[in-house]
Amino acid sequence: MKQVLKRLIGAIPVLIGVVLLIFLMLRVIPGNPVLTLLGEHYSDAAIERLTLSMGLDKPILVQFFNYVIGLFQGDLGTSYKYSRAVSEMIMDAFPYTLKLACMGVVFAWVVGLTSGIIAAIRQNRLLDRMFMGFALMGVSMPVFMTSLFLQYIFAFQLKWFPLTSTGSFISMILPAIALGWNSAGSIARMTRSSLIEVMQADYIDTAKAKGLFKAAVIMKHALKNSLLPVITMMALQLASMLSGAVITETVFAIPGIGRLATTAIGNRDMPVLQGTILFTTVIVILGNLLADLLYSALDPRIRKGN
Amino acid sequence: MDEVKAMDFNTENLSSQIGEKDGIKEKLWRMCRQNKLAAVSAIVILLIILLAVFAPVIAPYGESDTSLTERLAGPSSEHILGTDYLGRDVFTRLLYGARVSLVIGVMPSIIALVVGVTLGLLAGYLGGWVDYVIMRVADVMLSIPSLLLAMVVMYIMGTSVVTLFIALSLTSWASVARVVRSQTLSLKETEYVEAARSIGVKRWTIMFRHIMPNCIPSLIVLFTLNIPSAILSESSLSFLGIGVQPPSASWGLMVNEAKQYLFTSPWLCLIPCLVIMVVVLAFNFLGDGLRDVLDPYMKKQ
Amino acid sequence: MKKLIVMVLCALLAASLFAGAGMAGEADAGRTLNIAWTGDIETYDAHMTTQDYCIPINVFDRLFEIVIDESGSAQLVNSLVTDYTVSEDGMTFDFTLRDDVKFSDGNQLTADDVAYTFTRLVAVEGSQQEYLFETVAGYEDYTGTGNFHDAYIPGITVTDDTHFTIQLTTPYAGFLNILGSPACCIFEKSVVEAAGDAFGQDPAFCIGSGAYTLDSWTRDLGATLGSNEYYWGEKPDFASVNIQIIPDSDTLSMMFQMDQVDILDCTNMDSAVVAAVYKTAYAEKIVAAPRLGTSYMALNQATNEALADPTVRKAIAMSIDRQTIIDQLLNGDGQVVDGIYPEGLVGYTEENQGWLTYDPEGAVKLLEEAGYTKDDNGYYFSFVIDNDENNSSTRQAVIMAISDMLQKNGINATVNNNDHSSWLDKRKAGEIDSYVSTWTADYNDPDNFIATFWGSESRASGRSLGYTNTEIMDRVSSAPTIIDEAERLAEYAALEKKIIEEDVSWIPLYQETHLFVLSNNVSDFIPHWAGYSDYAFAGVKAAN
Repeated sequence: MKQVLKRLIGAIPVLIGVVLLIFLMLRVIPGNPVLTLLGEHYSDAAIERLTLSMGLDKPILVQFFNYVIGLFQGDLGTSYKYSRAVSEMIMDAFPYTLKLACMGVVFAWVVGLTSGIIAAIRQNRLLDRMFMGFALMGVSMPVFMTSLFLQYIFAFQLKWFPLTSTGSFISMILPAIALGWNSAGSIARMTRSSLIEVMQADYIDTAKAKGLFKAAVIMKHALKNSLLPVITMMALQLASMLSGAVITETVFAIPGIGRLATTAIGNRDMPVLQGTILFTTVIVILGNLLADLLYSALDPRIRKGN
Repeated sequence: MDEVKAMDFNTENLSSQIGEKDGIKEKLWRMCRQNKLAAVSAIVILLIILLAVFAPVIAPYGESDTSLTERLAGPSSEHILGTDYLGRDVFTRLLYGARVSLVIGVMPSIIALVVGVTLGLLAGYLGGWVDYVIMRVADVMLSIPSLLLAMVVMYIMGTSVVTLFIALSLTSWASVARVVRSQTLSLKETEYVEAARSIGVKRWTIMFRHIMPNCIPSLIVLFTLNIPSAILSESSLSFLGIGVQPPSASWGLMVNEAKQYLFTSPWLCLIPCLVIMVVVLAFNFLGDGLRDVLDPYMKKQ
Repeated sequence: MKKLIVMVLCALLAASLFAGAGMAGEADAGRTLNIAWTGDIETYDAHMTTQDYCIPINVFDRLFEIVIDESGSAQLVNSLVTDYTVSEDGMTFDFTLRDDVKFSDGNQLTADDVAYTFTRLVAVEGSQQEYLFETVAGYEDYTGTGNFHDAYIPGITVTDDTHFTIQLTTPYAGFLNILGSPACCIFEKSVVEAAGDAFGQDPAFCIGSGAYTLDSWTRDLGATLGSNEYYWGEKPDFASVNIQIIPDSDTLSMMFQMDQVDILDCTNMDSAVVAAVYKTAYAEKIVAAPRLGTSYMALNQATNEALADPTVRKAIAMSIDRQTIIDQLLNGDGQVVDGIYPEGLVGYTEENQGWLTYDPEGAVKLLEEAGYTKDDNGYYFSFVIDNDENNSSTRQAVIMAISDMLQKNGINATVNNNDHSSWLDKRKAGEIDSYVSTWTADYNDPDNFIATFWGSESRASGRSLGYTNTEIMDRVSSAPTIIDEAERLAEYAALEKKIIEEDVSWIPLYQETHLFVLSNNVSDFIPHWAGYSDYAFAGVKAAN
């Protein structure tokens, strides 16, 4: 518990850094939110009025100060474009992204671990090559192509799944695969190499000598010792999927956090952009924390060391 | 020349302490003999580098020669890989695209390496508040979702190749810094560094002449593995319209431009996509192979 | 520890199952029209947008509508208005409203609602449409004041529930056409007042008198429209409309082929794809709507020394093979225009057509006679074409093709890409050398085209044209006050000739044909009169 607290406190300077950095970066982006909002028809009077009503005429320091005060009150600001509370917009979008990321992670774990284990057992044989080949395809293809191929084959040609996502379980399967495939590849590679390494260790030979079946040996001894790095990696991946689903969300028309952020950049809707980046960053930090805690909880050496 | 000698000397010195006999060159040879996949990957990469370097010589057409009347033509004797939506020769653009894509893979990795090594060394060796500040900045960079961060940077600085370098190295330097820092921490305590310090060698010299060379094996691996992820990130940025800007060509941009012709002219999209996959896999396999022979520590991390 | 992992796994699985529960909703019985497009719907408040007309067109009514008659020309027809008279000086308009129009909440639509709506259009903070009422008496005092709650703008007087008068400060022949534009939707006074800042964003306050009601609306996901039970006009064929937002145009195209979308807008697809996929298999289901808009290449006389020279601008115009662009990049779906006004717009004249032909040798000759010589790279001069990344892929291809044509003719036109917001910013500051864009009619009058670009010095610089002939600009801004219609149109034709043919302030490129593909659920479809992407769903006829 003490350690959790320590880690949480340690995250505070990082958060402050993130807020400061994002705020400053978003102030220097060229392009004027007022003009973007007004579009093709504008009058100079309308520009002036809108600038005033958005508070964009105040000095940057004042704007920053107001923003930070708002943050402490749980207020992420109001969208320029939609005149809605940013926190509300994020909460609308988050369930989609959360669901997508969770399913993506489950896919990545299941496929990655299975492929990795099978590949390690059948090292350098046909099954190894097949499973690793599948896993590596996900690592090496641009995400939007993975999405497009999945969509084309399984939704358009075979009609097994809907083309776009409405948020239902079935409709989230293809996007989740597209999102998780990449991580599945990394998990499979890591599982395979750490398993192979452990299997060469002495105690496995001892176990084998004791007459245990190969499969049992692997399940009981090898996996237990090789999964440590894999598990920490998985916690990190959940965080990165929650924040990195921009492209999958675009192809499958999912109104999640990533889309919110990209449209906000296009519109120069700074409060929304600030809010989404801050929100995802907090999630990543929490993911890191979780990974650290899992690691120390699972690894007896570290537990003792501390 | 002196510096290179010093590096070799240092590496061997520490290697002998750890109990390894081979130098980097020997290890590379061993990798090529034992790991066929890595060897083939190295050859593929070399080949593509050569094609990229000699693109103007090999390419049958100019990079952005359009011919509207020939647009979206299939492979033929005149255009062996067909033409794109402006009637530009796909083979030619693939060659020029190799230049851009490779540079985009390599340059951010170099930037990440230079920045990451310097800051990692400083943080690890000096410790104290320097360490604290550097590592918190690294944490900040690693916490902000990298694609969003890259997008914001591209919007701030405008879309150009140089901006791309910066955008793509923004997060990768931080992971380099982390690795270098942890290795520095453990090397700092070795007798060898203690000895150097005791005879009054300056801090900078110790950091860059004595500690850094020992990080080189892990750095080579990190460098090799950074390249494919930069290439893929660029293709994602291209998808969002802020990667390499037309009329220049990069493989990612070519896939994106051709995406809408997937049903009508599939080769347009599939060829650059395939090239990306091959190159990304090659770098990954090479990186894995290098890790196996060069870096017994990193494997476990 | 194992337990912990298992628990985390279970929690994740459970979360993934329930996270989106209740998000999917199916439309109720009755025929549903399925529509999808790439851009999000951002508001239903027609005063706050200049592009988001889907909901305003379908949920609200206007005093007039514009329809294309059998001869193909746009006509103004009565909608909420049954009758009107114009005074002899052209400055006073007396209107009579229909007395059988109810909003979808059952309340009567009255002249008070009209007066309130138009006052709001001028006075509401952040209005993007107030310029439409520039000629209405009291405009100056009300613009952007936020003062529309208690009193109406002096130019509008309400006599009784069905009668009101609009008073202009100068005669303006195009005024009735303005009242037919989507910005001039009639809102319900009590609802808008009750909504406050939520009007435009909260679907609960979207109460109109049109054929449809806004039943649900989610950002980035879409909206559903239902029938207005109080609708005074003919019931539409489709009882409800389901609009989906699909950001990726390839996905959209696949959805149409799988019968999930009933009307496919081909704007964001490459013409070659349209030709290969749709002009073959769906040939008889394609509806072509001429877009009442001119695509042009703007040339800034203020930022680039070479571009300041009219000879240079002429030479550039002569170096662009517009017909090949239309044939190859638009797959023939368009026609060359040589002026400001597209064919079909009031004021379009054959007289000003045909002066510009593709003549690259002639262009080189012009340049050399004017004393231009090639530099070391083989170029006479250089300039930058700024591309807006929000441009359709077709327009981006056109820009690249133009750049290549010019480079081959010794003119170093390079393309620079900007994201939409930066591009707008740069253009507003008058800093763009050259760009390619399209202006589509808001109302059927030449004033809508010429005054937007050459109405004043600030407008010309705000569109990065750098045009400085103030005498011409004064004539442009006073042209609407010419009462005699023939005289007014002659003035517009003369101005067009001067600005384009003599000054080449912009290079007219082409007028596009906007293609839509219909599914088997739809038998007929009336496109928007100006070829917009937004149209009235009531004009969509169901197939049996």
